[in-house]
Amino acid sequence: MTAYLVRRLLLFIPVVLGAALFVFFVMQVLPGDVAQLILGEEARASSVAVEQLREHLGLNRPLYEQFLSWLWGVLRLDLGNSLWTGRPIMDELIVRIPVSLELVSLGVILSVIIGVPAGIVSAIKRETLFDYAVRSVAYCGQAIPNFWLGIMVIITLVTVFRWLPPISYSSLIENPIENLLMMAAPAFVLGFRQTAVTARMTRSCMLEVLNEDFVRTARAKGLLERAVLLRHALANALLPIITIVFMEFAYLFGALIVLEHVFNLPGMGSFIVEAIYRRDVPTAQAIILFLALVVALTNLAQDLLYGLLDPRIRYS
Amino acid sequence: MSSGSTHTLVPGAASTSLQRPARGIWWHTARFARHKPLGMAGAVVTGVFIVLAVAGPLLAPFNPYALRPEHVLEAPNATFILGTDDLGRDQLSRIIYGTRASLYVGVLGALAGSMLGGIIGLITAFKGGVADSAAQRVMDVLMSFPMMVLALAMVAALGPSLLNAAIAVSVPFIPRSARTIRSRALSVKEAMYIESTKAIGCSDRRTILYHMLPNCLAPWLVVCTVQIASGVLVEASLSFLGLGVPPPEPSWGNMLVGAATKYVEAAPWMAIFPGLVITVSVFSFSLLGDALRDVLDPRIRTDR
Repeated sequence: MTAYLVRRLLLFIPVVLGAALFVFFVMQVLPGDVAQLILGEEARASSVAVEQLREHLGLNRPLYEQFLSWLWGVLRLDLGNSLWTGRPIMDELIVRIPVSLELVSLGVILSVIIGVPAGIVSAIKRETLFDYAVRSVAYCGQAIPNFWLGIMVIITLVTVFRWLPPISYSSLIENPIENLLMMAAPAFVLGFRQTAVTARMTRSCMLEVLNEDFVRTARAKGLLERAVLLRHALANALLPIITIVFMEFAYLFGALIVLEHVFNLPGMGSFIVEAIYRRDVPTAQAIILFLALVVALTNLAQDLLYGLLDPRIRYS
Repeated sequence: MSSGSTHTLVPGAASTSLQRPARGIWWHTARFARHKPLGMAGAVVTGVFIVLAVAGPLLAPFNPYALRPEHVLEAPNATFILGTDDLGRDQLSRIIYGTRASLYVGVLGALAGSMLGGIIGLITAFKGGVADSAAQRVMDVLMSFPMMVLALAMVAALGPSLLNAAIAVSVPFIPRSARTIRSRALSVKEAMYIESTKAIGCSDRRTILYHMLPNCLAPWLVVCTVQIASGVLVEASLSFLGLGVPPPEPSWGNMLVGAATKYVEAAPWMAIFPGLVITVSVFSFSLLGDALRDVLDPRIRTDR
């Protein structure tokens, strides 16, 4: 296990470094001179002021020097200051991460507690009405754009239930009930697609496993059907299901962007959209890198979990 | 051995009667429709959208840009079948015109991305060695960004325009298709017929183009259709954020911007119909894609 762990960690570092490099250089192409944007009207008045600010922000240094100093800052958890507010990006990020993390976690939890049982039952009761229903809903879940589903949910809540979206955000710790009420709708929307994908994957994996010899053996020795399904079939179908849950975890961090915008939640998604609207390069850079780091960590966790669950993988 | 039975044993002698009749494209289409009715339905709806994209200006009842202050926020009625928006523009015409922009970005982006990724996957699998592992690491880096995040970063860097949106949509697809095609190409590379191309002295270019490529085409086609579905979704998301297709040109995504969410109570049709069209198109693309996968290559599972 240790060798596997080390090998996997060695793969992790270059990917994160590569992601940092990529983000930095893509953001450099962002049109518009940062110094000019900060100064606004003043910039047109004096080019000296622009030049001074460029010097002050370190924009006149060669690119590789800028990259290295940024990377050094990232390693010390100093992401620089926002061009918009002038405050450290880290302060803002720390407030916003829990919002997104809560939303994604709720979405994933929802999808596992609905998607996995639905997939299992759908596989057992193959070609029945229930199976068709699950499969149709699963298909829809993958086709409906989540931001549109969000708008539809808001329309329904507003017109049918006379519910108005809250104006200010209440945190989970200070006001848990208020917070969960607020998160319910976006978490449902976010989890919908994930549930669909999980259900489809669970169904096809279960169908595959149910045809295996060991399932027949388990039945032949007279085990309870529940034990056959859960301990023998599901245990062996688990690996691909876990893969899809983890893969969707990464997907959800992307889906978040639009959804937080729709529901007006102060998370990372709306943060990055605001940063791009305002041409706030350091902020956008920091959030994108953070999201890439989250995905890389998710992949790492997934591989380690594999190693734990399936001893064969550790030695390959 | 009687003379009567010999003619069936001699190869070639009976070939005229045993040969399969030449089967045209219509026979295959009919077969596809019989075995995969859902896939065929997807193909038909996709065809309708393509017609709308190509012949939109001929089919739209009104000018999609025309402002009608006297018809602002009208509910669906006999004249304006899908209602009008906050500037009095006809929704149906805007959706029909929007088909072009949405499919342009979604389809072009997905095709370009999967083509580039496919070429990378094919060549690196064939070459192997340092080039292969270097390309693999680059793909790992690109894969570490969620799809929307990568598209967003690209579109932010390039600025909003129709072509830039297509480029932004294409980038996240490169690593995903490169991986699928690479794994297929790796197994094709081991086949006997590739070894024989080496034995008869084919150039690398010839081996890749005439022998490896045709055998990797089936998974590539499947990846393409799956990615077109996501491409349309990514375009809609980008345009919804105001970073995709720039207004006033309509696209399904940018029809949902601002006003559609502002008037949810007064004019829900503004939000309902464009989203419905996105859903139907993505739905039909994925039905077609799944059916194609079952027919062409049942072994592969495409990842998103």
